[in-house]
Amino acid sequence: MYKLLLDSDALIKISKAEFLDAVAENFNVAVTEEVYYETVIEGKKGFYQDADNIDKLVQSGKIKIRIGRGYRKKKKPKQSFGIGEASVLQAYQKGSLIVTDDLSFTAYMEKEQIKSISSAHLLLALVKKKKVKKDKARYCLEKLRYLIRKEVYELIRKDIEGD
Amino acid sequence: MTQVQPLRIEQNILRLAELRGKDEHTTKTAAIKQFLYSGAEEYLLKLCSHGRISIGKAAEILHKSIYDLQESAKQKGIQLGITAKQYQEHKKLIHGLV
Repeated sequence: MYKLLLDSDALIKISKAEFLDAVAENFNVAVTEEVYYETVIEGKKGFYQDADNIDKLVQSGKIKIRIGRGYRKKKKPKQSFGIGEASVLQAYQKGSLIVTDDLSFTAYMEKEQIKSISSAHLLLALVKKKKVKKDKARYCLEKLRYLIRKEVYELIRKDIEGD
Repeated sequence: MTQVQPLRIEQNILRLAELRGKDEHTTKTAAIKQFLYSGAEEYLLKLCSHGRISIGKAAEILHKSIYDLQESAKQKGIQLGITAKQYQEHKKLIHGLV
C-alpha cells in the first residue's frame, strides 16, 4: 500500500472537512518538518483549531514526521514553490503518493511523472474501503465544498453516491 | 525587504484612505498599504486558481499562512484546487489505497 505524503493545503482541508482522523487511522500518513511548521506552528499563531487537531495526531504518532536531514540534500524542484511543497517533492520516494489540492503543484507533478491525489480522492478511498459511511462522507464533503472547485464537488458527490 | 515607490494617487482614493484611516484608527499611509495588499492578495489567489502559482508560494509572498489564504479565497469566492479533469485522471490511483 502507498505511503501518503501530505502537503499543507491538503492536510488543512482534510482537517477542516473532519476526516483527518479517519485518514490517519487507515493509511500510512507522513508530513515533512516544513509542512508541520506551516500547518501546526503557523496555524497555532493564528489560533486556527485545525492546527491543534493536526498536532494531536502527530503527537500520538498517527501522523509521522519525515526528518529534514533525510531529504533536504535532495534536488530541489525546477519550479518555484512554497517551502512546504518543495519539501514534499524532496521527501518523495517510490511507493509514496503525494496528497495535494493545489492545481499548480499537481500540474508540476504530472509533468515530472510523480503520483499524486487530492483530499477528495482520499474521502472517496475511505468510502470504498468502507471506513467511512456514506452519511459521514456526505457531511465531510459539504465541509469540503467551498474549498474545492464546484465541478470536482459534483463529481465526488456522484462517486460517493454511486459507490 | 521594502522599497520606496513614488506613486500618483487620485484625490478620491486618497480621501477614501483618509476615511479608512479614521475608521480603523490608523494612518492614511497604512490604509493605502492595506488597499495595496488586499489587491495583491486577490490577484495572487486568482493566479493560484489558474494554476500559475501554488498556494504555498502565494502565502510566502504575502507573509500569510495557508489557512489565511484558504479563508480569503472562500470569502472572495475564488475557487482553488485541482480541476475536474485532474480529479478523473488521478482517481485510478486510489485503487492502490483500497
